[in-house]
Amino acid sequence: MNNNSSKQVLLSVIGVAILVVAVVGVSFAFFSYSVTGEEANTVQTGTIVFTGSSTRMNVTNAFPVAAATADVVEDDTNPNVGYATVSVKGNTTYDSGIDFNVRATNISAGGTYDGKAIKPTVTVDVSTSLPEGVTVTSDHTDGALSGTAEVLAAGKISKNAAEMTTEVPVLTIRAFYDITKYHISDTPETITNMLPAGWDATNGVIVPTDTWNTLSAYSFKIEINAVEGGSARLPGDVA
Amino acid sequence: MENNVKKGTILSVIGVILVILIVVSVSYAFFSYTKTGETSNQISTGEISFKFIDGNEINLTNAFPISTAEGVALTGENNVCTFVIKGNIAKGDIDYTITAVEGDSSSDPTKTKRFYDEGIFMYIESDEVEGVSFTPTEGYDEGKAIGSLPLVLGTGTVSARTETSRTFTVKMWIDDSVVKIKDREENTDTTDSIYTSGEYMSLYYSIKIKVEANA
Repeated sequence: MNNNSSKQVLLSVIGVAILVVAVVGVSFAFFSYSVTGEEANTVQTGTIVFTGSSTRMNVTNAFPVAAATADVVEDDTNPNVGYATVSVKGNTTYDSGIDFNVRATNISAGGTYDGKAIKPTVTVDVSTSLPEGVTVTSDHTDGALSGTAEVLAAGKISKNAAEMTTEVPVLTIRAFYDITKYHISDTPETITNMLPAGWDATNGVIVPTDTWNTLSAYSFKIEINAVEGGSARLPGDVA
Repeated sequence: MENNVKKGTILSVIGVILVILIVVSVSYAFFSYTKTGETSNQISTGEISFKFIDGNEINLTNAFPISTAEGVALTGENNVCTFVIKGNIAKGDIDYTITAVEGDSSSDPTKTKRFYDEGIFMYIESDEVEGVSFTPTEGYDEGKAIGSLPLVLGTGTVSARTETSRTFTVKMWIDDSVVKIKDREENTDTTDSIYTSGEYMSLYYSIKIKVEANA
């Protein structure tokens, strides 16, 4: 009797144990697998460094001068010729390089006299000593600026351009009143298409007249833009 | 008196014998029968295998924002990631999940800043294979922003009874619908512009592919 009871107890215990194992076994998959690839997939951006700046021309009471006179001005001390230089610095790891342009913006309308527009002649000269890997071209024709904004020059800094530690001059911009258009007459004669600056007949000297000063008020800004990838633009310094 | 003692003794012996017989008889049937069935009853494990085989990895350098269409169309070495899932199971299915998880920091010492999750798009594609199904997470079969990691790119099932492979291609790029360079002329920060040119430089982004399976 005791043995039967013992067996019954033993069988009961085994039965419960099997039941527990069966219940627990339902909760776990019999197979599982988890692997993360060893190689990383990466995207990295490159480097684009570009800065540009220009000096500012500020000429008041300018008198007309000859183009040949303006062409040889090499600094901003000439009283009749505005002079400014544009400089850039850049390097990039992108194969496309850095495209940039120089624009005249906010071009004022200027004055008129006797129905004729009074505007200075602006000339743009590309530097003859550009760093290796830097190219600049200008399609501006010597003459008045057109519209309210005009591209003065376009350039490119290639991926392999010589390293530039400082900004280098790439453009020289001059502005003057062309004497063939705005003639200072030594007599108070009216000459076709020419405008007298002012003649003090009493003292025989040329003096700026209020009218001339008013009419010669003309301004524009120089803006430098770097264009990467054809459609994107990076901020550039504005003179 | 002697007769009583004898009777008692005999009864005791008989009693003991009976007890012995009873005890012994518990262990033996008076009739026994044994026959072994002719057909075996058996249980055995089935074959199950599953492998993730890593292939080409993406290694885009000097990356610039491109359109979603251009990103989906990327091809060639270093531009796409490929890997293979191979498996079979004798009965039932193996369920698997493909996930993009954060990768290692860049080995380039100049690339110290991680790019934005929102600016990186991913795309996954895989040709149909009988026995190995796959359903991409919505949007990632057309190109979609990662948003955040880890990212489940899709799930599938291996039901093939013999070993079967399925190849996957994953693409990753900086999408110009999200990552915009400040427009110089407009000179404004658009609300969806997430960086300026200064912040764009020398950034990296890295993911790894993780595959998990259960049956």
